[in-house]
Amino acid sequence: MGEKRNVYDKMVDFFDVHFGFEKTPLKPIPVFALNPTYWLGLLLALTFIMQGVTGAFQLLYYVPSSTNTTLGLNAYTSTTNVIDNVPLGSFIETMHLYTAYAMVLLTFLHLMRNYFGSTHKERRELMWVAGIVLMLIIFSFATTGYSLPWTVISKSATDVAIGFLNVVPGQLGVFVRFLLTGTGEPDDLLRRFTIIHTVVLPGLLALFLGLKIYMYEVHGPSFTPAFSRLKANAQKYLHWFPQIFLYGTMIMSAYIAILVAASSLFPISLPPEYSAQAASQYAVQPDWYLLWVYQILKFQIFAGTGEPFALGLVGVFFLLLMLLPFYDRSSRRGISSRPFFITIGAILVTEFVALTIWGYLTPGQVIPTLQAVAVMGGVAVATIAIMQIIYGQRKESKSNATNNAASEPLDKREPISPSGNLRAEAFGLGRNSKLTISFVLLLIVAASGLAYAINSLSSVGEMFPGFLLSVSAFACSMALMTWIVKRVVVSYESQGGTNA
Amino acid sequence: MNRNYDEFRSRISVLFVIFLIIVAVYLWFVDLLLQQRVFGLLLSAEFTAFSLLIYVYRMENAEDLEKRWLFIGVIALIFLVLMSIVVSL
Repeated sequence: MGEKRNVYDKMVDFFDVHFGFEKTPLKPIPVFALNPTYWLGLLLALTFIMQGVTGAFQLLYYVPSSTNTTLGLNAYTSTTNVIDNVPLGSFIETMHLYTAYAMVLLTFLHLMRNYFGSTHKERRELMWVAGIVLMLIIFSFATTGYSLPWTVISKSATDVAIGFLNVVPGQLGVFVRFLLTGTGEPDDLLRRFTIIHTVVLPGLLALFLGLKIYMYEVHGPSFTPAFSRLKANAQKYLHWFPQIFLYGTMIMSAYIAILVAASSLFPISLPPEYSAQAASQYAVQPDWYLLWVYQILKFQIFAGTGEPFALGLVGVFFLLLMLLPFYDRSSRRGISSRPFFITIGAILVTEFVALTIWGYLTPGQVIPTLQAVAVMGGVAVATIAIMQIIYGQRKESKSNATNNAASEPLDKREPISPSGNLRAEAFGLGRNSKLTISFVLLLIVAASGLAYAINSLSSVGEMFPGFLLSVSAFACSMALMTWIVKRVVVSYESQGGTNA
Repeated sequence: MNRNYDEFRSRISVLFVIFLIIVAVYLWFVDLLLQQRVFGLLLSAEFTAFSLLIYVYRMENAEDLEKRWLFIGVIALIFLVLMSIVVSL
């Protein structure tokens, strides 16, 4: 009773009394979930709100027409007008673009974290399905939004997006195409895309986001496989107010700070307005998150009539991804106990990065089938080989450890998180964050090296130094990545994350 | 020891609050058409300082506070303020 309250505590009490946070039924969160990787969904929801605010600002000025209206403005000039003449216009336009990028990037990271962490199991199947639907909505959001300024690049992104609709068969395809693109005339297309981008998709996104947040509230954060061996402090639960609320506010503030700083340091400048002449002079390609699809469509084997088939394959891929919890039924959740699905995941990530970088380096080029097979197959084989080495070494070290300490019972093992403070209790990932960042950077170097080497194969003689450098960069980064993955797996094993 | 830490927390929090107020007042007078980048960089500094303030508040024990994060945060603040000066020139 006689405890002295400082100014912060009084402030927290004030908000608690006035808003009744203590009484709200949000679930308590375990301490180990105080780690940014557990809050990617929160950042996604925040990004959606930021998109809404910056988008509403743009809507005040935007004219959805490819030809000049009575105001003397069209889609392109109304956008440049905001950038050049409206207070905070350039800043908000840039923020809108960068938050869209952040949304796509966070979606990928969230997906990868949930896939490799096996959070789609045990009553979370529908959360996974809702997440994949959200990802598709976010892709549609990004694509329709990208089309709206009607630049040469946005036109090509629109063409790729419309190409997806060709996959829908029969009369349903005709209906969907007409519904989304109308007569196909630019004005009709822009009007429809504006409505889809500002009304339909936000509504759908809010619906599925609400559903996912509700399911999260029912199930709470996913448990780490080593949860049972965490120290008592790390297993303890925190009430959402003020602890979790403050933690969320802290990471959200830091996240907004990064986005705002990036928007100020690197303001956008629009590419030229779309016209047949400008398009012929400009090497057009879609935005980065669609480059992987675009690259697949450039494969010679899919050129012309094969395009719907390629897009159909992409559709099947998303369907398989959505149904993952229904065929990955094993109760095992540890990275080391799911070699098949972890290897498949690793192949998909490396292929995605390789296709994206390769697509960026070869705008408008048709890729010969043999080259496509060599790159796609090479990346897959290299990834499988690396994963095999890692799993082989892990098996060996495990068998050695078993021989050395066969008699030691599981409950006598040292609990993890020896320092016992909040930071250390945020299990594992913080410790490996530097390795993770290095891994991602190396992955980019490896993919760039491979793409460059493949592209220069036809003229090795002239470009020999570049070829040698790219092959060396590829080989070195692959070796370093192997070492990093091995370190992460060994560190994970030593913390007891062998199985759930 | 704990009293020293409480004092340290209070002092550093007051510094962040003063920084937040000064920058907020300055932001009020920034030209929103011609100095958009300055506005954005200082707004980013506001969010960074606010994030650091919450971080310091959350860490009730000296062993929980990681000085590395404080250091990175303060360096980020200095960078943002310097960049806002550079882009305004």
